[in-house]
Amino acid sequence: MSNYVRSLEEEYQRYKALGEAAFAQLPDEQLSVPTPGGGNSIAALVWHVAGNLESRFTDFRTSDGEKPWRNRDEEFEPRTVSRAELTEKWERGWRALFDALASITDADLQVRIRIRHEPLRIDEALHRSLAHTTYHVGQIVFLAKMLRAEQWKCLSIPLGGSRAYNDAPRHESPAAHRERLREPS
Amino acid sequence: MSAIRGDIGQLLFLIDTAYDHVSWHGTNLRGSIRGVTPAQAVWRPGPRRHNIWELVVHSAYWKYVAWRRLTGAARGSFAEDGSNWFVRPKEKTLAAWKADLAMLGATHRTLREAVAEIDPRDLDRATSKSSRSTRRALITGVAAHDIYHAGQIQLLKRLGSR
Repeated sequence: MSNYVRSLEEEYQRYKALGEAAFAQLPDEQLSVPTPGGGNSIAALVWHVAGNLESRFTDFRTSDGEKPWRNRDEEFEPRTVSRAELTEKWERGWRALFDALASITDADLQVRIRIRHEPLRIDEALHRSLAHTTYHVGQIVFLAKMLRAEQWKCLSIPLGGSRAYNDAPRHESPAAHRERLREPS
Repeated sequence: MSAIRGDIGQLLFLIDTAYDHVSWHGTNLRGSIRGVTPAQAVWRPGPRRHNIWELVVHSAYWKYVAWRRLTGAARGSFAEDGSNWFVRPKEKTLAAWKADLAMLGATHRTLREAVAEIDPRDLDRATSKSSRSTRRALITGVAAHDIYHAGQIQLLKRLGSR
């Protein structure tokens, strides 16, 4: 049984779908627009999230999670990217994560790995990673909403739809939410 | 699973670090609103965009929903009428802001009490007959939800300070 690993994976899948549903609403040129005041663009956040996931979860049981080939600072540098480049980078990071999750069960959660030379258990590493990822996906969604303004299509419960949502709790699971996000509008 | 914490302890750790316990991942929800003034809390980046205050009450509401689903309590016992999103401020005062922060803290404590009382054998059972979500998924989801909005609050603080 891998109930704990599965519950974390489902949350990861939910936030991956949220990020994708957010940048799917943007025209290509807005993917690289810096936040007002020179803050991170959605592309920079995607580079950071994906770069983190790829580094942490590539060979994660046998090598340090901060890989020598990762350049964290470079992830935040302004960049102009195509949608294809953005998608490729995003998917590469998530693939490393999901491959790693597929290789473990709840029985492995006590196994020690290393991140930046710090020993920690796999469950601790997963908590930290899920939090890091959801934190930045929240920012991706918020920025996309700002950029899309009045044309934004809601990713959660639409305004006025809370009662219907509450009357149908079968929609509350991460998988159901993910499928709803992927439905064509 | 941790031999020290066990399944329930693991989930408590997850929701506590997402809310107010020291966490490795950086700013959690309570950390993101520490020191925020009512003036910062009401700032919006645009029309129909949420402010920090609304994100706080929204987070409290979903902690309440999780508590209700875990305990089977009847609907309607949240601090005010409505659901999901609540327009703020009702009054732009420090007292009103502190009252909503206190409500957030109270809903977190109530939720964690409910989590602590779960029989671990029930964690992977659905929260109700009509639900597809397990208790474990619900609790994991609440933790992720706190951090999701903490990231947005951090962003709002920076945008609002320009």
